[in-house]
Amino acid sequence: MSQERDTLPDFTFLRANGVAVKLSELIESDRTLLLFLRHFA
Amino acid sequence: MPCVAHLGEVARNYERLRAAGIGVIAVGHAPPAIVERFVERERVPFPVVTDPNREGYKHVGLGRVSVWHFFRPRIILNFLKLLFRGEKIRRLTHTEDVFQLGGDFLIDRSRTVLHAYPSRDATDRPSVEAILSWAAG
Repeated sequence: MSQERDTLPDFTFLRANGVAVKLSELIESDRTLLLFLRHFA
Repeated sequence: MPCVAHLGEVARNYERLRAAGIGVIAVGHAPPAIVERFVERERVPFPVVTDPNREGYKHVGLGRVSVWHFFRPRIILNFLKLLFRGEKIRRLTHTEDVFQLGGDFLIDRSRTVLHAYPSRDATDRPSVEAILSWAAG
């Protein structure tokens, strides 16, 4: 994809308790760092 | 380990990021139970969620590497640097994919990508200073 100026879909993620949450519900700032991890170890 | 080290650096500098108007969302791909254990252990000050189907990873172009990737001198050296800095090697669960690459993406409220930094390798993450400069630019 062309990553610059692309608009991300409103992905559905899962919280640690298994409850689904939309990306848009998590955004609280004008700018957000979306940090994709390789793993949790 | 490089990933968690990066997350730790971001967490330690969270107030600086907040002061610059930047929120943080960490996304993994492990099952929620693994995320729960991680959150209890690391206690980071921002949301940590998971994307088990890796739809987000796929959309932003984060691929997987082969096992040979980890034998590159640069990767070995970077892992050793982290060990000397005191980072711990933790056991991966069978549910986690060590070959998945990560990345950092600065987005705005409408989810438009302002800056993309897909990791070139397993140890490649931007510094907090770089992230702050993206927001300033």
